[in-house]
Amino acid sequence: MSSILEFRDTVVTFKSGSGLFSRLGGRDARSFNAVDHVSLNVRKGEILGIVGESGSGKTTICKAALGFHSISGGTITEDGKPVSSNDGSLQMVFQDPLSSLNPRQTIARSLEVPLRLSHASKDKIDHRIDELLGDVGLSSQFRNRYPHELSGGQLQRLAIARALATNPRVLFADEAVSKLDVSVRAQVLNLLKKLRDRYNLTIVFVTHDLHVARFLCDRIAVMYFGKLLELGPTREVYNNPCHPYTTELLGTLNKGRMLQASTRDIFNPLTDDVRACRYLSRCQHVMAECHELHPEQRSCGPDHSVACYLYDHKELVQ
Amino acid sequence: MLDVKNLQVSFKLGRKRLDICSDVSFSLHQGKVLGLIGESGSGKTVTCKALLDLLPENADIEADHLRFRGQDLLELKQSEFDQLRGTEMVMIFQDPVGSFNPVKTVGWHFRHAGKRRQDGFSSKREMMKAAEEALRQVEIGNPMEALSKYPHQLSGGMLQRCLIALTLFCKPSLIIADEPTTNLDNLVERQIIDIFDKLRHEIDASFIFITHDMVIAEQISDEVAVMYAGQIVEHGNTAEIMANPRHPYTKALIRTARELEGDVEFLTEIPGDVTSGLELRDKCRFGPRCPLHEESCDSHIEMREIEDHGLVRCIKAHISENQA
Repeated sequence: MSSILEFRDTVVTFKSGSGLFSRLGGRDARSFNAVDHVSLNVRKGEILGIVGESGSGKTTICKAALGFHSISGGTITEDGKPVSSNDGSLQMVFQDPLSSLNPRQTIARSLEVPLRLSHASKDKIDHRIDELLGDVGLSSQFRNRYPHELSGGQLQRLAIARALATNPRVLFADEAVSKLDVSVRAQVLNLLKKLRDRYNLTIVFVTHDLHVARFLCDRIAVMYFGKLLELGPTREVYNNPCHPYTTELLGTLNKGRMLQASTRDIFNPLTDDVRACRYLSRCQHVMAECHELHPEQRSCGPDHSVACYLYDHKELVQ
Repeated sequence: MLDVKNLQVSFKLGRKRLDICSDVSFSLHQGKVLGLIGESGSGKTVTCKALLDLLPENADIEADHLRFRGQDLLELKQSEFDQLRGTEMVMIFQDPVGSFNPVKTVGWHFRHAGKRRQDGFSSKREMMKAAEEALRQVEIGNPMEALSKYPHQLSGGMLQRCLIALTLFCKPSLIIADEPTTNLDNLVERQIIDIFDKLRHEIDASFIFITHDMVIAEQISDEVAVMYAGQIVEHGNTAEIMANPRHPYTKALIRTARELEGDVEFLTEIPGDVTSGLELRDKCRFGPRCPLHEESCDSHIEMREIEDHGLVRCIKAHISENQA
């Protein structure tokens, strides 16, 4: 499969304390790489899941691709060309559908705005609105309603319809189902899967729900504080997790096993050494080289890579 | 211990009256955990807030009785209720950050709560010792340090654990936890659930655990009550309901949860959404979405008892799994 979007050594840096007041107050500017040298390719027609805890940079990397954050290192390319944020080929669906729609615009009007970019005639736009609503399973009765008249599930479908309006090649879905009720979550998940099949759409699905990721995604990328720790086909990652963090994360799915509450500190980006392995303070297998440098990605199976020194020492891996 | 009979909550909005909960009845025994399951808008939080009298002014609470340790809560005076709330009955909210005063240390919150505790402390030292003990119970490694910190210096999971410790410190006999893990990450969520699981065997309080996740309810509750559109639709022993749900809504919820754990191409959907049930006052509220719906369902439906199972609000509950 050919890759459609490629992140190479991408870095997104956030600065704190660089504002006027901090400088007047004599405080030093501090910076943190929310996405730290991540290389990742998104293949055409796949659903790539990015999983991680809050603060792992999973949303930031999507926003960087869409141009919401500027990157401070590396490249993001679409078909070999640097991404341009204004041609509508990359679209995003956000977590909270209500706040991503204008409360004073009717549904039809919300959908019309992105369609007008294509300079089509009024009739064509009208027709396309019905088509989009049909695609996401809403009837054309909804055209003249306002967002507050719709339920959460309907709003999220609408948000998906609006993202599809520009015929995107890649759809980013940022926790698109985590605000939805259990009974409508299945509807939206099935919808995403069907849309992928119908339009050969590529979807990057950001989530912290491991069950949802397993159901929906073809490949999984595990992130932890800005670093990509593991990348591989879903089945392979779930059955044979390579990184200790992935193992710990997937352990939460195992109902029988009691999880030892971690009293160890998690990584603190402002005080901890950013060169060492990010997972250092929680890892059970710390070796000398872990303190030196965060490991590069290395292969640990078919189409499966991991950022961990354990795989240089095959004898240590059970 | 707690006995709720026929609770109705409605809100006055201008001239309109909005019914949120109707005909909610359940009882809870000492030391038991009730899992209250439902989607947003199903009335689970409103039910619990009604018990603690935390609803806004325009709410109207009616019930045959709300009995807590023999007292009827509806007959209590405001001052008597204030005595009870925060000492005997406590609530843990979804958002731990919002539950703490941001300009005071965690320790201040413990001291504040300690003053209200009924048995009282003979000295400040004794109080702090009890606070440390409570923090240890929720597996905080260094309680002294946690007590000296401000809320913004602690992570979400730590803060939620401090909040649980704070409620334990009050030595309540009823703890209501309103989706305490919804805003947290997987690993932290798991820790908190495990802590609750441990606590319910260790302390002698009753819990009401509000959640929308069947899997969590299965792990930590003795009995579950499933709410839909303001009514309890199924209530009974957790293991029995998880294995053999009778109400079509419960069945659908459990099926989806099981499918996500297994390997399926597409998930089974429940068509429509919860709003379709809110206007149906005297009909089955799940009717518009129910696969078994027929004309006889469009009448007032009472909870009916099913032997060895519990209470189900469905006229077809006796139909066994393979016939449905």
